[in-house]
Amino acid sequence: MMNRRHFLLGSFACLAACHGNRTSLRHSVTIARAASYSADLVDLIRRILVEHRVAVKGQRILLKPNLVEFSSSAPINTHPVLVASVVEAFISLGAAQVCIGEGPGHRRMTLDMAEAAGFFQSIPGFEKRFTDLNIDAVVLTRLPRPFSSLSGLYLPQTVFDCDLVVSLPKMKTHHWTGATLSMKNLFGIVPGAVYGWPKNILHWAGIDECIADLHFLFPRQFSIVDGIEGMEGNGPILGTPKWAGVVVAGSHPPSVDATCCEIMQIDPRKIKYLKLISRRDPAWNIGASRQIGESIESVGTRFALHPDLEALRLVV
Amino acid sequence: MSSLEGENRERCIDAVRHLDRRGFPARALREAPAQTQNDATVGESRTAEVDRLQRTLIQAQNINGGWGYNGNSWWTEPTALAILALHASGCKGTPYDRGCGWLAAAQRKDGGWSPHLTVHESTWVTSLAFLALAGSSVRFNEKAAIEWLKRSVNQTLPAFEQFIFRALQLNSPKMAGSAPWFPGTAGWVIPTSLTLLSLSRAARAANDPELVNTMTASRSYLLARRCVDGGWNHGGSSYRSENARSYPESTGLALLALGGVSTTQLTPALQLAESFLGCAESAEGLAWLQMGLTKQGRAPTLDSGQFPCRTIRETSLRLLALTADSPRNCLMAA
Repeated sequence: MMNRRHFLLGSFACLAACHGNRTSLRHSVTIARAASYSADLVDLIRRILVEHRVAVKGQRILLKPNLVEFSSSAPINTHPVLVASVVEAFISLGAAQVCIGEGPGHRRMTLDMAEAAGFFQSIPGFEKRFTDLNIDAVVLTRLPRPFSSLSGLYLPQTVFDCDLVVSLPKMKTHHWTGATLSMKNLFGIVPGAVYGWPKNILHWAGIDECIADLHFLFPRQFSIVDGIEGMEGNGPILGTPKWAGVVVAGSHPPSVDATCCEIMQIDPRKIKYLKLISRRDPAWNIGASRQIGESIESVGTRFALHPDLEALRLVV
Repeated sequence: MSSLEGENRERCIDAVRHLDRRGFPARALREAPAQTQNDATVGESRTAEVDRLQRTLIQAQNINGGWGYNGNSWWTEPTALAILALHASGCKGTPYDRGCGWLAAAQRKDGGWSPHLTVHESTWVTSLAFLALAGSSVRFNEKAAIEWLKRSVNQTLPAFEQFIFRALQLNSPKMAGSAPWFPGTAGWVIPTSLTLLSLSRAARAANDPELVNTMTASRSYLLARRCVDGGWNHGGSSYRSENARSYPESTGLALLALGGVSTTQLTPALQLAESFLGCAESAEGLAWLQMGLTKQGRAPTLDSGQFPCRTIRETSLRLLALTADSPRNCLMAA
């Protein structure tokens, strides 16, 4: 288990390696062990944010957890204790505003789901912080050089009113894309009141392509993946719990997602949306991200895949 | 009392306590004057609840006549539902007329409605807008609306495409009779149910064989999209989602839309819907279940208080469920 000393040593080593090379730091990914949701997650998140030199003071932060279903037991939703810890960490570092926004993809009663999933109980003042992105005011946003067949999307005003979008996904397998992590989590910002439940237009325009398009819309992002308890098998809803005991974080969502894939023993080079990103961003190579803290090998655990997706398996 | 009823009672008491503690939940309505707050009151009579919900709607109406989901904007869906709810509960007056006026003015040239004035595309909300205005005396382009609704329903695929899907042993995502949320995408249970309700309403006033055929196809689609437990979810009951469970809200709405279909075919769905009454998960789920079961000749309890009405939409649906037996309820009469 990574303690504070190991974390700091790893961090200093990485920072030394990255000194003068902001690109490398940008592509760095922290892998931190977290034995349970009762661990000191606030301290862990705070250290990660400092580690990655995230500008927080005076900033308006939008946290985007993954809230999908009525459940406090099945690992479908981002754990509310982790979300609460992230809120507290950002506040403690001087954020001017920390909001939470989500637009669930299948069900419409967002606050009822949040209540059932434990968000009200775990996050002080949750309702005041929360915006249902499915019914928020929308603006038509052009997609620059889209991969998908879409030229634009109506998106919630709230996501453009913040300085930093923080994606807080659950580490899950996905029965179409292989894995759903910080980039796929941004599907939740697409407003259901315009596109429906599910947001089927994203499927018609190409799931992987839309994931890549949404990524490029938000240049300032940070990702913190809830991999303490994830989901394997027929995710993102019908899978089974999978304990991985990690929090994975970084400023570059594709690097974070690629690292998560390797932890899950899924080959990130076979994940189509990551391939699209690497094609557009020559400064980034899948699998070349630098890890801080734990190594992938030390925390890697095999997430069962839907049988049709076994070809995505990482050959170790 | 069964254990389930016991759990529900505890949940109900918890819910009321929760409301008392934190006040009215929805953000914009939370900012409304105290008398508009929508807190359920223990032991409140049905008449008192109807009055309270009407007041909530009237006071949340925007100055231009429309309603937002949270009272601070103007969206087509909550406006249409508020109009339907005010009409069903006999509250016809200035707020109702202003709402109808706003909605009629929002009709687009293609006959449909967009979800919001900033959205430049007619979508599934057309079905609700049509139902709301069809019951009013406000003038709108009814014929164009019906034509838009008919066009929105997916037609049978060309023979070649049918062959391809059969060869691949796949269902076409654009199944005949299904209606999409957004034009050009696959059909789903909720928009199909709402479109079926609106086409049924249109069929009352017109002898249109094409309309009848479309409705038949939509009913077949809904019956084919049931989950293994007999009810409906958003529509993902097929490949890789074959074991997905039903949702209370879509099961209730589909039962409402399938009024007139043989109850023998619907027996598992009806049993499931009745079991959902004890665990409806939300005010919306409970309202659609109550309306769907009433439409199918069952007599569900109209108890509320389990769930807060957090938005204008949920307030309207609750009011519509409370007035399910009213001949003025256009959702029930469709």
